[in-house]
Amino acid sequence: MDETTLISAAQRGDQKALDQLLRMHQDRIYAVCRRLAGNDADAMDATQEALIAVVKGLPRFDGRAKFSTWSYRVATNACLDELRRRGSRPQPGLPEFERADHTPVGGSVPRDPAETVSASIDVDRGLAQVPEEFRTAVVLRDVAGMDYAEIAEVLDIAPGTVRSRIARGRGRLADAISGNQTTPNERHSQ
Amino acid sequence: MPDLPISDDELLSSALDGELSASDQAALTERLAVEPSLAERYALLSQAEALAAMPVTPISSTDRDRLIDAALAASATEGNITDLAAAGARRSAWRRRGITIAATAAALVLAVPAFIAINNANGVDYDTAATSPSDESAADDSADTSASAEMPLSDAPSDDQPPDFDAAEEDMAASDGGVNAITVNRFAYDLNQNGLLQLSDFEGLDGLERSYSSPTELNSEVVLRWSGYVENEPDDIAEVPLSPRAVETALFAANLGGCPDVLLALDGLDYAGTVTSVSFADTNIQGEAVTVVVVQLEDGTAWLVLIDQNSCETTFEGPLP
Repeated sequence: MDETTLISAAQRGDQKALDQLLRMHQDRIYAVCRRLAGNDADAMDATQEALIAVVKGLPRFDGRAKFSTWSYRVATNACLDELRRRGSRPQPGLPEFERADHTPVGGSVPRDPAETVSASIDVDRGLAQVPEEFRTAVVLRDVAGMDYAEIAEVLDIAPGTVRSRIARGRGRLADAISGNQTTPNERHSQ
Repeated sequence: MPDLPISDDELLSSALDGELSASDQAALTERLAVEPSLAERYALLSQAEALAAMPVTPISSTDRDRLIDAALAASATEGNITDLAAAGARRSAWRRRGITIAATAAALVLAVPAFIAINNANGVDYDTAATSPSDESAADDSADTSASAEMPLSDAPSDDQPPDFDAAEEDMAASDGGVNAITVNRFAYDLNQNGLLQLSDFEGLDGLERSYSSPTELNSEVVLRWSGYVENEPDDIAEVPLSPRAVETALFAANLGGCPDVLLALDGLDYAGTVTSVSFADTNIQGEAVTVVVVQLEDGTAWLVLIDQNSCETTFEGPLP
């Protein structure tokens, strides 16, 4: 069944179709939530809420947007709501790398576990320094692979704002990497 | 309307994303060739992009199934089922952070005596419960309900009660005849007061909190009653007149069938003596979904039982003074 057929069936209450549809998008939604949350545990809960939000919103999906864009919008909002409800800033945590069945989402190159852990901590710590609105834009771009127009639709902001937020988010991340904690204005005035 | 001028970071970031026009890209390339600081910044932003794009370690197939199951359960709630089912499914999908329950138990022990004191001092009115309308049949079977009301009372610091709990207790009394459903909230409050848990840890669990008590005893039987606290809870577990294995009964009634070993483990619990109350809280301790059970005995001692809802690992602490 193609995605359009699955969506229609799921909207009619076909549980198998819904199951299949959710599985098609689950990993990417989790990846977004994981980067927004900063740790596995909160990401799991946020993904839970996101998937539930997708399910509950499915009857209202009218097909005008791509399902992936629509589901990212719903999931991102649900994920952010869940994290806000917890009142938690991203808490960098150790990745659960001990499981044997892991293949990185969006990549197939085997990694040294030590390298994976180290890089995961770095990215979590780095993203934790980035304000939520910038972080969200960066994550949708770099993790979900969405273009600026899609991100604008998901976040309901202008494409120019998307560009600005991504740039500022990456800028903060770059500063975290380089140990440069000055503000952009301070940097530019130097 | 002309485009607003963009910062260098925006220019470089857009270039990384391939979002620049051909002319802008060409202009940037020229600048990068003659501006080392800009080239350095470009390299740093490129590193940031690569880091942010680092693949996420996916969830296990087991967790994936759990998440899907919970979402499907939520779809069922869109019909005529309440969110309780989804909440229950969510509970089963909750996270694991690898804490040791035993370590948590040691900390909780400190809070339990105070919890019991608050519990007893705040109107666990077993007589009222036995004579409430919904309990009439059980009361009829009881030759002497008043004898069972001799609870070990202690000097609880009632001044410390949070006002909202008082209000909630009034509501409870009206709805279920005083069976002590509010103990769970008080327990949470007490844990919070002792700095062991934050009340926020209990958020989202409304409707899953439960409390049992023994309003009536007769010939060593303990009648456990559903508190009536949770709306939409099936009526068929509203009253559980079984015993003498009161704890097992309560656990079973609390729908812990997913943890059959718990019942076996309870065989090792020396709860000789009459159980006077069993209180439950399905909660989340340091990220671990845990059922906290406080079993109070007639002699005033109590046992604390912690059940890891994921592994069904059960930890006992007691007897507590």
